[in-house]
Amino acid sequence: MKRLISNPVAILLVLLALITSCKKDFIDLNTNPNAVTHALPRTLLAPTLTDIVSGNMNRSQRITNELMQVTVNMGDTEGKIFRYDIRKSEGDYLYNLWYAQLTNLNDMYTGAEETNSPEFKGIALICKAWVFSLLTDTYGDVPYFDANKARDGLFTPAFDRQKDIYTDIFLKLEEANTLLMNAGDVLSSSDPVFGGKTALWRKFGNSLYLRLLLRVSGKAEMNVPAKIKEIVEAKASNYPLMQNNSESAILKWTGAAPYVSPFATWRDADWYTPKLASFFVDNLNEWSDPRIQKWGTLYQGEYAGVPGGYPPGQAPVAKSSLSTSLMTEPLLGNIMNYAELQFILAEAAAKGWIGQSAKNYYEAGVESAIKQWQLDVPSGYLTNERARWDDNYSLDQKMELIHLQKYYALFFTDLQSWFECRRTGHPFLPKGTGLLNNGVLPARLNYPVYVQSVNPENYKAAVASQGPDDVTTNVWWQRP
Amino acid sequence: MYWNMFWLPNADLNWLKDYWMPGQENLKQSYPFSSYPDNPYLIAYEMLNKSNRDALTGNIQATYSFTKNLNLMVRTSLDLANEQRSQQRPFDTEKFNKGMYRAQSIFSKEATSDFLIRYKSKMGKDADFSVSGGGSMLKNRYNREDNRADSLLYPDIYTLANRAGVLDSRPFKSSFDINSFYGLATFSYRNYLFFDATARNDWSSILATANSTKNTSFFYSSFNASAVLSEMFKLPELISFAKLRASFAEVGSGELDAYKTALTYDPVANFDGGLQNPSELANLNLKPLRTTSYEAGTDIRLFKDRLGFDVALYISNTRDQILKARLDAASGYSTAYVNAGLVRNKGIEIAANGAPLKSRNGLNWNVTATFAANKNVVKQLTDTITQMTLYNGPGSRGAIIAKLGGSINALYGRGYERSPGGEIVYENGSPKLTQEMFYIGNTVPKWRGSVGNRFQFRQFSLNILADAQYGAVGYSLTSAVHAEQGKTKNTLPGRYNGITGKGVIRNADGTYRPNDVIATDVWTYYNNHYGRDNVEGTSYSTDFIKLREVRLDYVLSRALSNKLKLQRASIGIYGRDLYTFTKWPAFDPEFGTLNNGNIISGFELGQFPSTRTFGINLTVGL
Repeated sequence: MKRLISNPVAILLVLLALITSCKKDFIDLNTNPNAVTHALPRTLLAPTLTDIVSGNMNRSQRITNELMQVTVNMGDTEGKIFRYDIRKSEGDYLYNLWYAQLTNLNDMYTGAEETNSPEFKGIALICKAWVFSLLTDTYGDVPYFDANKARDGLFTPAFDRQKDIYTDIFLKLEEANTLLMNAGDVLSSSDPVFGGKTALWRKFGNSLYLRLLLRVSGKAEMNVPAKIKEIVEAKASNYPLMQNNSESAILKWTGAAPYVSPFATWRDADWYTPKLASFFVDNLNEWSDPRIQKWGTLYQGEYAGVPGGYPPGQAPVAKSSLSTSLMTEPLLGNIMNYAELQFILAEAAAKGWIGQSAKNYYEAGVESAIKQWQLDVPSGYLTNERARWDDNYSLDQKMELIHLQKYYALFFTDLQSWFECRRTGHPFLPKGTGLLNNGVLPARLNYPVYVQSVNPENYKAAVASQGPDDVTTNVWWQRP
Repeated sequence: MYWNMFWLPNADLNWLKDYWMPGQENLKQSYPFSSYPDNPYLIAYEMLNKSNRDALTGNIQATYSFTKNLNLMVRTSLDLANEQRSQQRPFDTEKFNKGMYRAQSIFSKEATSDFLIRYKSKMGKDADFSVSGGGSMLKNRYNREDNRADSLLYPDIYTLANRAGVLDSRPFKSSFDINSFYGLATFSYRNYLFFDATARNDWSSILATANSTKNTSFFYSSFNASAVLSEMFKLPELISFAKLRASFAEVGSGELDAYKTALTYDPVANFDGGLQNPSELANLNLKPLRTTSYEAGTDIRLFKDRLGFDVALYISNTRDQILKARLDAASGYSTAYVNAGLVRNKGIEIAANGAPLKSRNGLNWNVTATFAANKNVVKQLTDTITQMTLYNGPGSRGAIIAKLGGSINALYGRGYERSPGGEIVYENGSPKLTQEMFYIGNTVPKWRGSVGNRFQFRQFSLNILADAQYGAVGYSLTSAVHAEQGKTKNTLPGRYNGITGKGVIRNADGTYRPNDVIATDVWTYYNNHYGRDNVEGTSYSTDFIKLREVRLDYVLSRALSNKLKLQRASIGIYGRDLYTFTKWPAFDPEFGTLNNGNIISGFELGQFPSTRTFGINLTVGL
């Protein structure tokens, strides 16, 4: 032993042997056993769609319902959205959610390329178009071409102009339509919306295309009327659309995990807190619309709402609220339904961009929106003075008719009814005297405040190009 | 604690005590005031978090002496723990409408084995030296079984069998090894010159990536020299002891959780084979951090040790600090692990003690004082980043941002819009806030200090300890929420007949005139001043002077102790955290907010009141 210790060569050899073993098994040891390194597209789709739709419903309840006078979250504290008082932090949630999910959608697309799956490529493109349209319609200019590239070291993406974003979204939807033309189906359990049927994804993609074309139709340079005519008439066979209610894009909350409505865990007391607004209730009452029975609670034997936008200190008596059965309602997971498509076509027809009868589309929209809720259309509904279509109406009257009905078809559908009201001014919402922002419906949400500090240069460039980062700045498609 | 801010300040707490609605026990919560926050009695008595931990620690050590001067020590130690945790929530609570029960079984093990060879000898008559070398091996293993029933079938039964849905199972494992070799040499000459040097190499598995171990190894060394001048030279009578010291030290570290160096997908609970990207971005080339520090110091005692100073000056450079930076979500991730270029810390530490009064039978008075000041500057971040957000405040109001040339603890946020003359700009009577975030202050104090006094007279002794900090700010959510609700005194002026804020108004031509508009909407006025969106108005100085401890002791005289057949006996009373002098609006200017296991300074988000302690102390020696 003594001799061994005193032999420097021996010591060196022992040390060398020890040092080389110092890193032994390190790679195995630091391989995460709680996660996996590869994800097939089919593993990503369901969690991603579920998260997006859950988040959209959450903000629909919090933001859209309040801005669009579905509900009034009564009270006089700051941040009351029904008074157009929108906190700076209100924009964080959706921005963070949508971009996080775009990372998954991107991986779904690359995974589909690697596994040679045109099906999942098409689905990924449609989902991306959908999510990016939500982003740009909410905030205006947002990172698009440089987005979701942190893995490549791009931590501070530049903001792109809404026009460029829309132009590219349309290209993506064209590509998806081509990819899904002769595609097979995908694993049904991987797809909570269409059960893996790619033909239905294709129809949804094209219907979404029409929704987004209409949204930018105020911009002459986008040539929207011609494109809509091409899709609906000239090349209709190339662009299949949703055919009936069963082809609607809805993530139906079955109640079995993981498809449990995000509201299912709410306390009844929290769900009841926002009260129904008069605007929302009165129209349904006037039409004798049966949907009110599913959507509202009775107050002293009737459905009644509170006026929106009342000033602080002048609270009216709270009346009906949203029914608690909606907390587990499968249909609230709506992405885009057949009725909305009919109203889109009705508007295109009313504006003369397509040849068919606007009346037919309008009536089909009304009927399918009610039938979607497993209700019968009451007789005389469409001849009722306030729901009746008349070809002699002015365009403005027709738009009000279409959009009032469309507003109900978009019940709990992310922020769509707000987007549509910003675009068209319809339905015409009564204005209370307590409204901030000079009574003007907010035009966008501000970017999350933290973006100023984590992406300062690009943020400043975006503000310089689009206008002040507040809710009064119109996004590109809103500008004249 | 956040919800507590919303309780009515003048309501009877007894109304809350029956926390179930009569006849609906375990089903319907009773909240007499507001349905937002859960009833605090229900939280205290029904929302239980339980833990049962068995731990075993042991070590074996052997030393073999080859010769008088050469020995070998071998040691191995083991730390084993098995823990059963559970959390339960009743029905009708804010987060869990149908109750909740979760149970975790955690096994953890850390085994360390090390050896050390030591050789020491003399060089001639006056010099001693020793050399040692050793190595260690650390193995850490962690295994957690986590089963969750986030809704229950029947109320008040907390078992996994009582689940209403599918059992959500989230197993988690973690392992890492750290291996090291190190050496130490010391040299001393005649008890007044000392020199030592160390060298160490660590290998940490945490820094291994999927195909490389090149970042796992890091070497660092230190050198330390000191001289006791009072032994070397004959110094004047008044200097009883004098020592100088200087050191250079490097430290390397890969401190981090395992598995942050590879891109992976996390399984998503409840989905058949569902996967999702994590929100934090792994770093495929994560390097260990290295700190190089230089320190010089002196220890001087005067007047027969009646007065002493220990002063140390240091400067340290930390390279490649491993930070979790906030990202723009549009980059695809919300946070990323990065190595931050270079952060420099400079500081001084002083400890002094003195005995102004000293006598055998009279009054003795001893004073000890400490002072520490530090300043840190961000010298370099990464190639692509010139500023890094380390933490976002509540609702992204305010952030801790490291900017080049700034501090790593700097608080930024929105605040008052000001005229070129620096005055607050008012609009419609209320202050206007900026859209942009700007620098509010540093969240880490410029200095901390303490003074302790000990008075002794015969058998009585009195200790008084006070400490202070200076030069930092913090964001107080408690004060913001209270101000928004009009519960603080600073929101009283003008509540009933309006107030004209001190500041200016912007004229149409861009010039400013003194504010002349009475704010009748006092709520908006104060919300803009002290509400949570105004980070500047809601950030307060965390300077304080605290009376940390006062204690009075009486030692029984020897005669009396002997009579009681005791060796010694003393009785005393004490009080801790007795008083705080501060302008901080909430309970305590010392706070920390827990964020994923890290304590974040600068943001107070609903703190608990701190406690004041009183006691009696009796010491008996048999």
